[in-house]
Amino acid sequence: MSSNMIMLKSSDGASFEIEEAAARKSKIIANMIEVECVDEDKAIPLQNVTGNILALVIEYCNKHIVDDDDDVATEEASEEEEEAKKKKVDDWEAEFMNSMSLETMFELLLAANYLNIKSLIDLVCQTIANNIKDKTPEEVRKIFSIENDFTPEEEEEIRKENAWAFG
Amino acid sequence: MKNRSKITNRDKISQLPDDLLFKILSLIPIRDAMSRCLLSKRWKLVWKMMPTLDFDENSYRNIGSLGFEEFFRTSLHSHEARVLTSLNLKLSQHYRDAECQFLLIIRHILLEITIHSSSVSCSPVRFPRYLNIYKTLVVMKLQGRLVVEVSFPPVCFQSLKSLHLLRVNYRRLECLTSLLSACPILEDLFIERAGGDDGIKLFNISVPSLRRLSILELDSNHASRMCEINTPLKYLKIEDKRSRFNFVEDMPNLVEAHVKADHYETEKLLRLFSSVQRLSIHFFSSKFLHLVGTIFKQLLHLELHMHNRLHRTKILSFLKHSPNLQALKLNGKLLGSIRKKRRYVRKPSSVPKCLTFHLESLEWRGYAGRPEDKEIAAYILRNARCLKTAKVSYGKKHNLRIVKELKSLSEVLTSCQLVIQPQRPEVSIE
Repeated sequence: MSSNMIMLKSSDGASFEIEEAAARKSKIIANMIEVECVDEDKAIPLQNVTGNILALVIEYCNKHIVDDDDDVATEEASEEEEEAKKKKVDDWEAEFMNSMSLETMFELLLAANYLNIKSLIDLVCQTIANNIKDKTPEEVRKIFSIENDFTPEEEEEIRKENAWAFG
Repeated sequence: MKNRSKITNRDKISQLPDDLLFKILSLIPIRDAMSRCLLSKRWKLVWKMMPTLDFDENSYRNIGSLGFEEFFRTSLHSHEARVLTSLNLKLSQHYRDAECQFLLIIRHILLEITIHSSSVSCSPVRFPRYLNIYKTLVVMKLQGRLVVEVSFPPVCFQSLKSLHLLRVNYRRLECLTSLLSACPILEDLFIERAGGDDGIKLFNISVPSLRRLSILELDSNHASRMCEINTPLKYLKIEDKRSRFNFVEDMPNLVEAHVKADHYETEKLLRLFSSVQRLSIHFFSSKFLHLVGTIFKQLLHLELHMHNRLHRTKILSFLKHSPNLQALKLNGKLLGSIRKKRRYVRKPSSVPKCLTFHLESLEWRGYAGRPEDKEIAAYILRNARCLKTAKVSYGKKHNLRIVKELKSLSEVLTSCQLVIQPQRPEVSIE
């Protein structure tokens, strides 16, 4: 297990130190390490991610390195242990997502997308999806500040057109 | 400052790139996703361009005036993307004529389809002569209470590379064979069976393009069947204790094999496996294990599951036949009394090459501390010069004696420490 440290630099100039294993959760960074674009003394500049968001990304990655390394151990762990572990991760993720505003959530999603961290994209998308599900269009517009730019006639037409689906 | 708060309040979700919106919408039921078209102009067409569509009949029930089938049909008609990466269909009712109706209307370039049925009685999946998706499908997964039926002359899945048949039934004996012969470039075949009569007593897998084959039997009490494998593979996994396996063709490209089966010709199988790099194999009690000429030159990882005391005495011969082995995992079943008569462990005439030069990792689960176990462990520990990790886990019984004995055995180790622990890793001694 290598515990190499890597430096990341946010768009607003903040530097962060992160374990290589954690940084590798990002496919983009993993690729850079693979092709040896990473200079040991130099920080990797991430132009699209601000410091406060990068801090969240790093918090997420640090929390999840351990889980992925446990491949070998999982075989031996009993089902209850597995379940308990999974619940702990789920609880942490729920708390993590709960702690941020919607606006931060979208910035985090864009950062995860840019850095290509699949499990984080999944997590944020699921949280957003939960906010969209089982709600009227009005409710969704309100939650996400979506402006209704249809004229009443246009809206009526879409309703008619899709009546089969809305039931 | 004022300006900034205006940005804060702006509608972030509508600014997301399409692929993220697709992703979010794919996580909610499809009817919900469709009704999001009312939100604003940005959202009007989003669902119609989604690359994956999931239809779950169960979540659809009790809502809407349209029948599920009609709803599915209308949805696909309205959907406007040219390419559909995946289409998932979860059926929970019985369809007498679901197959053609469902599949015929797909005019997208469809890459992956999953049809899963949990209805009480089986629905037929009949592949008609012509379907648009025959040309485009790369992955097809059929699962659950479906009866696969292929018409004659057989159709052709021109692009299909991966086929999963999970607990499905077949209309006639030949249906599986005809389906396979309709897939000229198939690389990956996964068959899971769940006991009962799925319509097939003998099946012959003869697909020259096949690289990966997995056959899993979930019910260990099923009737014995016959399976003939006649295709050169790279990866093979079999978990089926009752069926009889016959390997017809050589497998010079086999890289990885997992075999948990009982009825096959051991010598022939081991000979066919001579090119593997990774091998996990169970030897059940009825097997007579005799290694003849086969040398596993490329074998790096070996996992032996020994269900019989006799087999353990062959472990060292196995090492002799695997000159480049790097990792050895032994899995013993904790059966029988340890006080029985001592078994003779045949020692190789010279130290196996892998012990001197290559073996880096040893793991022994279910170590029972029988005299022959001790003899084998002592031999490996004494001769393995490159060991980096060594781990032995024992059953709860006799632990104090075992720990003591193992500790004294491990004194010869110089390059690593022996980790001794109970089977469930609560305490680790060392």
